[in-house]
Amino acid sequence: MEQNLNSDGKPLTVRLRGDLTSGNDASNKAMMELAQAARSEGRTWRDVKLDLTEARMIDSVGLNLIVSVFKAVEKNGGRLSLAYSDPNVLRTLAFTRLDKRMDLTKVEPRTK
Amino acid sequence: MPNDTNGGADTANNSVSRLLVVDDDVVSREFLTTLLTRWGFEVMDAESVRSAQRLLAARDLGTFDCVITDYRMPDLSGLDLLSWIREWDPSLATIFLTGEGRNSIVLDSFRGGVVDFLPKPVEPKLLREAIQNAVARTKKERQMARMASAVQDLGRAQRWMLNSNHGGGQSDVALFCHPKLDAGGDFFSHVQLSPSRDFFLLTDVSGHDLQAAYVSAYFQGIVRGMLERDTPPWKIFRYFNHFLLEEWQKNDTFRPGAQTREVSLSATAVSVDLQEQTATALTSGAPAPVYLTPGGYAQRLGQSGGSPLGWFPDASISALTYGIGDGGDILMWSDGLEDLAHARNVDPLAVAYRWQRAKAAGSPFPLLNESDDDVLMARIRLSGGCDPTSFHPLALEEYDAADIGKIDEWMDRWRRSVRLAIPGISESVEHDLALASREAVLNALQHGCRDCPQYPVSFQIGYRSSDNLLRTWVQDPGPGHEEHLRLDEPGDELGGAHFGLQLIKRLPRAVKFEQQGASVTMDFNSF
Repeated sequence: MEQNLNSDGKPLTVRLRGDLTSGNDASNKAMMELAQAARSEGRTWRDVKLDLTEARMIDSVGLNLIVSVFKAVEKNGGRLSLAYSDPNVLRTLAFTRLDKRMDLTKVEPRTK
Repeated sequence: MPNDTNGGADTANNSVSRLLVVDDDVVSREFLTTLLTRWGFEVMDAESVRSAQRLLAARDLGTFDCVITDYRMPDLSGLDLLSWIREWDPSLATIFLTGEGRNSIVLDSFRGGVVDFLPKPVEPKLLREAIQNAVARTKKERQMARMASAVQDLGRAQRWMLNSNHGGGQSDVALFCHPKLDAGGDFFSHVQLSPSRDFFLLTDVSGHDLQAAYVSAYFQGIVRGMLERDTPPWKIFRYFNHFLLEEWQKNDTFRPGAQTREVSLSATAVSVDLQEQTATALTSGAPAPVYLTPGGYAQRLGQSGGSPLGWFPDASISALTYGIGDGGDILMWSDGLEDLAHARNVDPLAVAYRWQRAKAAGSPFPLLNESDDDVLMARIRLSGGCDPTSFHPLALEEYDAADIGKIDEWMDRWRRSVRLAIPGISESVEHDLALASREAVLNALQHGCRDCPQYPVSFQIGYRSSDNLLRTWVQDPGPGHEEHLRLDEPGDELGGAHFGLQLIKRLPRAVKFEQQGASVTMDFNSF
């Protein structure tokens, strides 16, 4: 996970590596820490931008983690936005209607 | 080294080597002919390339053991003769004699396949050695060609037997063979025991040589004979296990140090009783056969693996009987196909499907060329067989709750299997199938197996080409769960735990829950 901490009012950007699924321990841990940080009093940011551009799949565990982060951010008056590249990720978010709850931005995949 | 009187005699088979001398210079030709005759060879001569060609062509292949020819002659050269000989009898060794020693000539000659190149005037000692080597090479080449031809004959006989001994009865067998060499140890037999009872046997002997072919044929013969005597298949397997261990492995007829004595035999046998509607399967070190219901639902008959025959005296050999419907198909394959699937990390059934499709279309199936082993597969159509519009299985797996952490590996395998079986499948369908199946399998492992973790979850993928429909079945051993039924009331609350069920419900084109959700069937359009 890469974090970009801001104290100037800009959203905190968190980039996840790979899929957001039950098998990706690193992403799961990052998301849990992010939810916890979003609930803490001492945070220096309000909004969060989750960069999922490397993800090609999000499963139910990943969706639950997104919801945890969403709830924690929203509770403190912030907004969660998601950046994605893979159309299947968008479809999963749409199927579960999470696209109605948060801002989604399509980003062209990075060329290697 | 031959002496002056018997240099041309082949003491091994008591024959005299025959040589052909070709030279336009009469003095040189006669000198050579006289010298070689004195050394004990049988010699004929020709004054030109054309004359030599006529002389050779008028006799049977194998008449001569070596040609000794001048390089430079009027009209056609020694190189032209060499080129003609390579076409006419590639085993016949040729020696060049020449007064010229230019590198380009020597190089061209060796490229053309000449065995030796001697300068004129010829040094007798060198000539004698060159002829000896050339004759030995010709004989060796011919022996190898005879052996290759014998192996090809054996292979032809094997293929004939493979394709001809499974007719009759109410069952129809389609065989798929990809032998590594002309003859090998993979074989399939069909014995009709009565109008309603059939016996099918697929064997794989270790090795890809003539010994493997011999042992395989011997086993098949024993099986047929013992079945005629109403011996149960498990007794035949035990008998052959004993034979391999106590007779074959312990005999002293092999060369000391030869690595060919250890022989093992993997076998899969299925006895089908269409009247009783049962199939009894027996496997020893081989992949278990798969039964397809008339509708295309797959069921493994018995367990894959175990010890092949010839390894252990106490090998467990027991048969399991299953109820089968009225008709359906049985698929059997050798471990060559299993290994191929393993190397590609796909399900063997996906390889089996692709192979059948390729054969039906008359197209090559290049994946088979990656195999290091013989690959043999049989599709047996029982009575009416499967419904022509039924599903073809692409994957049939069982998962234990303790292995739940391997879900990513399983999912990767499903995706690869589907991609192999259906080239051009859309990525979104592949994604949806993988994700919805992942959720269903995880759900089954976490909830369905909660009270009975000793029982696995069954998962399979089927494909119906008539309407490009992919279907997955997930079956857990539990009593079901009311939670599944609530899917009919999709809520958009962020309840967390329902995301998996939402994906199961919404990603497929259609989903069906049975047994309180212990059985989930999902359909996907493949394009």
